[in-house]
Formats: sequence, structure tokens, C-alpha cells
Amino acid sequence: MLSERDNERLTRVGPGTPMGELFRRYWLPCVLSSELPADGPPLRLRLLGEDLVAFRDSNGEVGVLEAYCPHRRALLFWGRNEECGLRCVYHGWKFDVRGRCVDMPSEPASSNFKSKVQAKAYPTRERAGLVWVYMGPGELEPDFPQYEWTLVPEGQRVVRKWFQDSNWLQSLEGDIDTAHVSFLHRSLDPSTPDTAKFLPGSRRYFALDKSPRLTVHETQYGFVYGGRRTIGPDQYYWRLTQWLAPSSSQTPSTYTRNARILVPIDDYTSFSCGVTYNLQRPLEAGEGEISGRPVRPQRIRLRDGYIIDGWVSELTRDNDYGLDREFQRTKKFSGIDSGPVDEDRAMTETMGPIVDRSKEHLGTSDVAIIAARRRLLRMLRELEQGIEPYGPHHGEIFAVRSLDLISPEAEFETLLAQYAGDLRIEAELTAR
Amino acid sequence: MNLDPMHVVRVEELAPATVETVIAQIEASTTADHLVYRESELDALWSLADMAVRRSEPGAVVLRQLLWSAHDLVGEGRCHEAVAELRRLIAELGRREVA
Repeated sequence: MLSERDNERLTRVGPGTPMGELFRRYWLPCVLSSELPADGPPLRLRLLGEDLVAFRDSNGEVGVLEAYCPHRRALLFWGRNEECGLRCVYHGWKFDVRGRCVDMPSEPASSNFKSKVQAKAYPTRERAGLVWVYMGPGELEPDFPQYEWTLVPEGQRVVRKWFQDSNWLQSLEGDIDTAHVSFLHRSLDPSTPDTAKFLPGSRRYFALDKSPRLTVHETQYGFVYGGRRTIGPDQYYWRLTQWLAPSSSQTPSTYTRNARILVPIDDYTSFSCGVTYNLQRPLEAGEGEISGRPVRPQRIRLRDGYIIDGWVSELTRDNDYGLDREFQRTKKFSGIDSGPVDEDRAMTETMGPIVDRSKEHLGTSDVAIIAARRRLLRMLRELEQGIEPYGPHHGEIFAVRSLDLISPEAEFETLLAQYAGDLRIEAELTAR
Repeated sequence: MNLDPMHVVRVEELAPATVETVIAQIEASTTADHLVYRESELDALWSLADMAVRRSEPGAVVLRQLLWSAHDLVGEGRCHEAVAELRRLIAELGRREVA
């Protein structure tokens, strides 16, 4: 459990909040690069409680600006994206990707007012098929985090994003909770093949031991935790998962790999960027599909009525995420005829927009969740004391990979020492 | 008594002996990783106290409050203060037994 005060500190993300300030120390993905063609329509966003508009100019550069024109606060979403700038359709003021006002036709030609006007703009970068934005203090602009999936060649990676109708933290906590895999994602149908990205036999291992022993090892980037399932005499199925502060996780896989970043839209909603990648070869058809029903671009009305452009699954709370009781009786533990992404959302979205953690009763399989909360609370306290987080200016520490493996080794620390080389990315990949 | 701080104490009842074991584990803990397991143990004790509150057991609210305090103190690395709260908890449990 967590006190109401600590829960508030971890979940509120607007400007000036402790967690909001921590998020504002990192590069955050905001849109897929493919969503923004040059001179194409702008997109409405909200990130960390701030209303924004994203567009790609005629030169291919991406701008992320405050959503409202500095003149009379009209939405720049209505704007014309033309000739290297976004022009507000209300009075014609035009802004470039850095927020500079480059044309002000409603003022006398002799006026120098336009040189004094600036729209709030945030720095952006493009990497790995995503546009990333930095919303923190200019003098603290961080290194780019070297997540393994950002380093593989195009074609070996697919990135998707989808709307999450809940606070960011409850979704992250699902991503670092290996115990639920034995239940929520369990097939009851013995003919169901193993998930291709896991070790052969993994489905059986999940069923054999439903209460994995969890051990957490704190690192500079966050932590790696081991979930140990006993699958025979002196034989263990280990799943080594990374949490990379503040909101990224890498779930274990042996072959085609997965990673995820949660980005808060506001206190009550977020979106996931899910990545599938392969280190050795291009992804085959279907490999990069989301492990759930397809998501589609859609207008999303947030709780306060503001509308953003996002990607939404057809399975939502409005249709009970497709729950089928007969399917639940015979085919899948969850009763949801879809993949883990939708099953996870069904659980985390319906806890309420911000789950009341003072009413939880945690078990020993929740130690990774406890560890993440405590680490984040410590980072918040330190930031309030003027101690900047380590990760943003050491992008190389994020170059790690998850693992699943079978071993006779029962002790996590010993296992970590044995596989230290596998958990770090090869030097040549990091150098790309 | 197992004093391996990587070991999670099995918490099955809200009893002085269990709390003593958790205290010993806190005193043996030296890293942030260790304190995660201690917090997990205190979560389990807190859950037992919370269930007692839900059953309207006399004095259970005080027990839950002491555990809440110890839990948050361990979370902040303030182990001496957490142990002091747990000592008070043991005293409260003793009073309940006498009553």
C-alpha cells in the first residue's frame, strides 16, 4: 500500500508537481514519425497536462508548440501548415518549429511586434520512428537514452502507440508484474502454441509455477528483477525484466523482443509506445503487430472535454473489452479474445483513473512494484533538494536487454553475474 | 532465526514473534534492495491489521497506524525510527493479549 500523499506525488504530472518535474528531465516520445508528413495536418496532443500541437514543416523539421496561439488563444490545430510554419487561421499569425513568429499580417507592415512574440515551443528529436520531446529546463537538456530498440536498423523494429485510459503508473506497474502472466494471459487450450518470442515451453512453465519468487537488483537506470519459477528439480525458468526510470520497461524474451514506454497525457490518461524488435534480422510479416486487437487513429475526448489525436483499440470499457464468458470457461483465463495488451488494459483502466493505493494489500510477488515506487519517491525527494536524476545525462546506462532462460542457478545475484554480458548491449551495437 | 536480508519473512499472523523477526531483518538490512523486502513484509503485516480493522476488532486501528508509519519509514530508509514504531506495536499486541 501507499499513503494518499505518496500516491498523489507519484501520479500527478502537471507543471510544478514533483512527478511532473521528474518527467520533464527526460526525452519523451510524443508521436510516431509517420503521423506527421511534411506540410501535413498538425496533431493535437496533451503531454504532462500541457496542451500541445505537433507539425512537420516543409523542410521536414518537427515542431511541438503550445496548443494555443499566443495572440487570442485560438487552437493552432486549426492552422495551415505551409511554407515552413504553422499559420493560425484566426488572424494569420504564423510560427516556425521553434515557436518564432515569422509572419503577422494583421499588424501594420512597419510593426516589429512579430519579433517580440514567441509561441511556447519544446525541443524535439526523431529517433527510432518516433518524435521525442523535451519539456524541461533548457539548460538541462538530457542525453538521448540509448534504449537497445532505438539502436537497431529500420526494418528490424516496429513501434506502435495506443491510448491508455488511466494514469500512467498503474499501467507501468502491470509491465513490471511478472506474476500476472500466469493468470491474466493464460490459455486454457492445450493446443495453443507457445509465444514465439519466449523460450519453447514457456506457456507450460507459467502454468507449473504460478507464484514466482521475485528478487530485485537496483541499478543506475532503475532496476532489473528476476522472476524465478521452479519447473523441475534444480531447474528454474527465470524471467529478467528491466524497469528504466521513469516509465520504460523491457519484458523478457529470447528471440523477437519487446519494450514499452508509458507517457502521461495528464493525471488521468496516458499512452503506451510498444516496440517489437529483432537484433539479427528484419521483422517478418505479422511479427510487429500489437499483441491485441489493432489500434486505429482516432479523436479522443479527454475528461475535461479537450480533444487529442491518438490511437485507440476497438476493445474498451464500453464493450467490456470483448469479454466472452464461454471463451473464459473454455479458452482463456481472462475471457478476452485478444492479446496481452488488451487484457492488461482491461485490468488497469477499470481500476479507476488513479487507483487508490492506500486500499491495496500487496503480496510478496509485488516487490518489483514496491521497488519502483520507492525509487521514484526517492528521486522526487532528491529533485526537490536540487539533486538531478542520474539517467538523463548518462544515456548509455539505458543500453540493456531483458532475458528469459532456464538455469539450475537458484540465486538471482549469482545468475546476474553469470549473465552480465547478455544483459548489457554489445559494444558494436551501442556504437551505432 | 534467518537473518538473510534477501529472504522475505513469511508473514501469517500479526503476532509479537513475527514482528520481532521483521525487526531483526530490518536491522540486518543494508541496501535499498533489502528494504524493498522489508517493506513487503510490513505490507503483509499492515494487511493483517487492516483486515482486523475491517472486522472492527478493538485496538486494531492503532496497530494499523503503527504499521503504516513503520512501513513508510522503512520506505524512506529511516530504519531506527521504523524499529521504534514496531517496538510500540509489539507493546500494543502484548496489551491486547493481556486484555
